[in-house]
Amino acid sequence: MIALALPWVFGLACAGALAITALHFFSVRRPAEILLPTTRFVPNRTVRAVSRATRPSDVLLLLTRIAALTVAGLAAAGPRWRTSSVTRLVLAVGDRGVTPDTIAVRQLVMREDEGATHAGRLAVVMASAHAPDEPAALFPLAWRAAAHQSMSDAGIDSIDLHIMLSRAPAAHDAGLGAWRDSWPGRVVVHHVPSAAVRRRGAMVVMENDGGDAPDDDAVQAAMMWHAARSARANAMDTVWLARASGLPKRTDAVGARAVRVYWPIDGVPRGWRALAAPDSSAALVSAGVSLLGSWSVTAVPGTATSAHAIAWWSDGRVAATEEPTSGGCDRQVAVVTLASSDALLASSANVLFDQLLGPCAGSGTGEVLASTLVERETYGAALAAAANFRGADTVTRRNGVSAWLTVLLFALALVLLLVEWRLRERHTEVMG
Amino acid sequence: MTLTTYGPLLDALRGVRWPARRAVDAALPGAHRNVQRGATGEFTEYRLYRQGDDPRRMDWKLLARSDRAFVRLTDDRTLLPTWFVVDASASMSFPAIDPRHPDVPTKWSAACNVTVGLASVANASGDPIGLMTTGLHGPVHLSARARRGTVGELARALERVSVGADTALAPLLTALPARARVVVISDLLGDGDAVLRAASQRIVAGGIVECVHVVAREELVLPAGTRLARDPEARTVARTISPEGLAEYRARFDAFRAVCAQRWRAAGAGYVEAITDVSVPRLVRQIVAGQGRATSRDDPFRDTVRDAKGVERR
Repeated sequence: MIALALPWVFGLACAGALAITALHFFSVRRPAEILLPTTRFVPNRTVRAVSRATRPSDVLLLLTRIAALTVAGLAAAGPRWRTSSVTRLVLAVGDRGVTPDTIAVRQLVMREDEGATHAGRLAVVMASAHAPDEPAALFPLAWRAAAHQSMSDAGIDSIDLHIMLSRAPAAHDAGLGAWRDSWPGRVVVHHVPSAAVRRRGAMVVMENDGGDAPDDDAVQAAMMWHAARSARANAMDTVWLARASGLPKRTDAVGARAVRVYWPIDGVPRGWRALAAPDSSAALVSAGVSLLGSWSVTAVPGTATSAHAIAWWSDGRVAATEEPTSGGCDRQVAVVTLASSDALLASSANVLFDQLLGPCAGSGTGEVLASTLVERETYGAALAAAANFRGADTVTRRNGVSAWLTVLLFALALVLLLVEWRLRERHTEVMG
Repeated sequence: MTLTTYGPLLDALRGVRWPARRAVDAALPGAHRNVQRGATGEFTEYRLYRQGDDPRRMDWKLLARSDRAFVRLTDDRTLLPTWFVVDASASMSFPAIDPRHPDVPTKWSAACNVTVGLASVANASGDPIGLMTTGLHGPVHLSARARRGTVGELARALERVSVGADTALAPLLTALPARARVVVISDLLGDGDAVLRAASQRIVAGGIVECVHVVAREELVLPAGTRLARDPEARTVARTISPEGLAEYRARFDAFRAVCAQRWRAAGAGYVEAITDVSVPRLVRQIVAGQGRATSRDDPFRDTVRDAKGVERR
């Protein structure tokens, strides 16, 4: 699907095509053509046309001209190849006081505005670097995010901005007023008190692995401990844990949308390349939090392209990955632990296990909102047009245009012009 | 078009003979008068005895009565190979075949009819008949033969020809035997001058050349209204037909045909104009009788033109 950065240019081209069509009908009628071997004996004289054409007489020439003009206009209008049908971007920006949880925000937007998730796409930009008492700093962040998103996806027509504040909106009216006025569309301010945020729980189920895992498995115990630590809400996700070396066959009990964690005992998940000699590392890093210890690096990821890292060793090598499946995800962990180790029970391991026990695709830590505690205020009615943000960043704008598509369309227009020239040349020869 | 299609034409031409217009210099015995005088039983005339004549050919009874020595002269009969050089250029496919009126003859169909008709007449006299034409996929050559079924082979060869070639016709004439009878069937709109030169050279060398000038009825009477005419053999040549220019067109075309007739006859060739809708048996009889341009004289549309309103008038 093609989207345009400058639709009015394409509109001009279409208007020109209409004008050409009108001129074609106003032009004199071309006489019917016959093949006559004795053409040479026909006197060469000028014939005066006495009527206008009621039907297009030279359809090929007309179509070629229209196509050339339309394609050239399309190329000049900044075409971009759009792979999705998204037309509406829901942008949620929150301060540090609101836990940056995508699921929670998505639930909030779905509840507040059902049409948003049907017609649009949700992009969450959280301002964790800003203090709760500086909510006005969220708007520049929202501007940059809106410009970036609208430039990267030409299909976005409008932007719905949701501001998530951990304090009551009334307390920030003075600081937010100017920014709300400068925003070119509707702004929805949500007050999300800390009491409304609850962590979503997880239940760890040990997958049948043929008896490879010991009864006193430290990993299994750590998984269950961290799941119990976060289980403060009624909603629970099931996380399947496999300790076998390979990828055990998915049982019927495991749904396609489940989260599976493959944490082989030998530290070499399937598809990973085992190191010839184990290396050592001093820290295991996940979400910026280091888990110090004397770790043994046994494998590095293979060439799988769809997996992304969720934990690293201190030297930058990947220690754990997540790969999406049909609705769920598979996580592979290449960390070797001693059976008697309690390193995984340290508080610095909370972040790692939040990643392992949380929802798929990095969509947050699994927090849920108590909707009845969230207050909402809406400023403005119409959504902000994405065009307001595309002109702000010329570099991004240039990058947003599909250069290959522009070149292709210009080349096509050139070919059509050559065909039109050839047809017109032949027409001139005939009339001469 | 198959031989079955030519059935009525062949029936209509049964018994027709096509004698050579002059004595033929050939060896094999046949139906045509030979330039050589022989000793066959068909007496022609007496001639005074000259030294060197065969004494056995002297008429002794006449010598006894008149006291003068005469020899008996007789005519020899010989075969005359007849070659048909048929023009298959793009202009011969005029008028275009209309699915609604498939029976409207084209110049090519008229040329095929005339060729088969003349071939059947020549073959009936025992003359070998051959074919040379320029198909779209290359020249078509059918060697001269006198055996039964040659007319059918010639008809099938013509059926296989794809009309639309832009090959010159004149080189085909130079490739034929010098003493043969050559029938050129063309609309003379291609390399007409070169064909005439080649025919003249053949005539000078003792050959016999007949020209059948094929003209379509639609070329004589152009359609009414304004049209853009395009030459099928030179697509870049196009002229606008207007009602005001029909008379001038007809005058130019008549002049061209008259010049063609005059030049071919002046070269010593036979010339007959074949209009597409004229009866083919009648046309063939006129050709074998040596009547030049009989069809034009009998053409009821000869002076017909259309006026500005598209009404035919004379």
